[in-house]
Amino acid sequence: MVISIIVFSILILRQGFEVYKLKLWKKGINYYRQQIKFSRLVIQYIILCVGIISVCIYLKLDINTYILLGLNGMMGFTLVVDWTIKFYQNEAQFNETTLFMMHLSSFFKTTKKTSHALQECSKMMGNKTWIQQLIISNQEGKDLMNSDIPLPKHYLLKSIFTIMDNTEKYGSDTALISLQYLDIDVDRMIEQTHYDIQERIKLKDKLLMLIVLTIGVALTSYWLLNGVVDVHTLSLFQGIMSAFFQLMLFTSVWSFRLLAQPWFLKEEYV
Amino acid sequence: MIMLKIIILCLAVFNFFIPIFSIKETNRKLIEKHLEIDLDRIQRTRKIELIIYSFIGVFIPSAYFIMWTIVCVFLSLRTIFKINKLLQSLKDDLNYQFPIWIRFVQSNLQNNTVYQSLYLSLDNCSHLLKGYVKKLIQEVENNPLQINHYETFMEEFDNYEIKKMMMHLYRYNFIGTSESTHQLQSQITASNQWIEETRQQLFNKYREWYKWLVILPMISVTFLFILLMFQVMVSILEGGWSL
Repeated sequence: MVISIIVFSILILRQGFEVYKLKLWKKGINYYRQQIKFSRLVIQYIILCVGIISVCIYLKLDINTYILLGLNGMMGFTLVVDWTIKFYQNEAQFNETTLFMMHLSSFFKTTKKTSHALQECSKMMGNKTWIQQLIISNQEGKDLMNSDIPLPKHYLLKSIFTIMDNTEKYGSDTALISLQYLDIDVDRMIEQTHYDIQERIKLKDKLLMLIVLTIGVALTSYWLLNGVVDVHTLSLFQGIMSAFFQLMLFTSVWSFRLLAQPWFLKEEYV
Repeated sequence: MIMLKIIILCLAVFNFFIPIFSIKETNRKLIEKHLEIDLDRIQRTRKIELIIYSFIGVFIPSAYFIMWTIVCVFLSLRTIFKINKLLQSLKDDLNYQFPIWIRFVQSNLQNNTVYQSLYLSLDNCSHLLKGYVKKLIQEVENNPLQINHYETFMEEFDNYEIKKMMMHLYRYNFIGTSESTHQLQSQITASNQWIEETRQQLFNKYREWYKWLVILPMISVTFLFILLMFQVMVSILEGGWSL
């Protein structure tokens, strides 16, 4: 009992510190209101938690077990919400950046000017502040990647900027071909990342399904053994069942951790 | 059992005079250069540890001797596991960092010479590659026609893809413009493929870790059933069949 509270508390404190550090609540709430999918993920968790507590009530477990599960369930809920918000933030950042890469590359192919390409991108993507900052940095002749603009330092973005810079400075016949190759790279990265995300969501769903099945197996074994002897009289029954449900709750919370992984791989940053 | 203990102690003492684990010369260079691990010191420490474990083993009761031996073997091998893990992670890092770096060289090659491209790519080099690239630039500057500089680039890693890419880069120096564009394109395709494969491996690696979570519910329900079964058996044996 004490161990489970300590584990959940450590997780909450660790996550809370990260939320405070990145000021996620400022970025997250607006997104939260827009996302219908978000509530679907959270509802999944709530149903599972309520299900676990209902099974405990059915098994006539000790009142302390319900309280503990309820407490840990609530703590787990904050983690699930946080990880889900992170998931949508990562998605937004990934989509925005890859879209910017594709627009920038295609506009540069037609205009052959970085400033024009950036302005076209800005029009296309709804005058985002960071694109405006990029335009200003470009006018001032600063390195676009090394400025303070909150852009992921991804190697593909850096390669596009390098090709654009070289073409503007020296001119090149092969710039279009190089940009075409980079477009293929970006497409392939998007494809691979989306496939991975789908796999992660599938894995999370499978884990949740497995937890439900495991609880089903536990209930069946309870019915089987209860038919032979009244298991409620067994000395270990309360403890074993309590530990089992705590573990199930912990596994279900941890399965949502899969969603919090960043969409851009850190290894690809330069 | 006493004889067995004495044999193990003798083996531990004898083992002091022979190398316990052999490391390939290329790997040895990598470990000493990048991981900054003194392998000779580790070898010595391990040998002394083994003798101490075996000496303690003489006083361990016979019933626990096998268990003690297993623990000692594990303790003795833990350094090798650790070094192999670090070495593997170094090679995995290289699988990402090298193709990314070569991609920057390729981006610069469209309107620069090989030497200039290498020089311009230095800013985008990872810590692991920086030393090698600096050395290559120096060598190409001194003698641009030598193939050796390209052949020996990062040879400690013994990586076929690196050798292939460096040969592409060398050939790029000596061929005509139309042919060189074609060469560059094939080089870009090869490096793209490499990055894609590494990315896929990394995605899979992240997911693999979470797949272990699947075991948790299965093991827990098995334990739950076994424990309840055990309790029921004890209850039946103590109190009789109460149907």
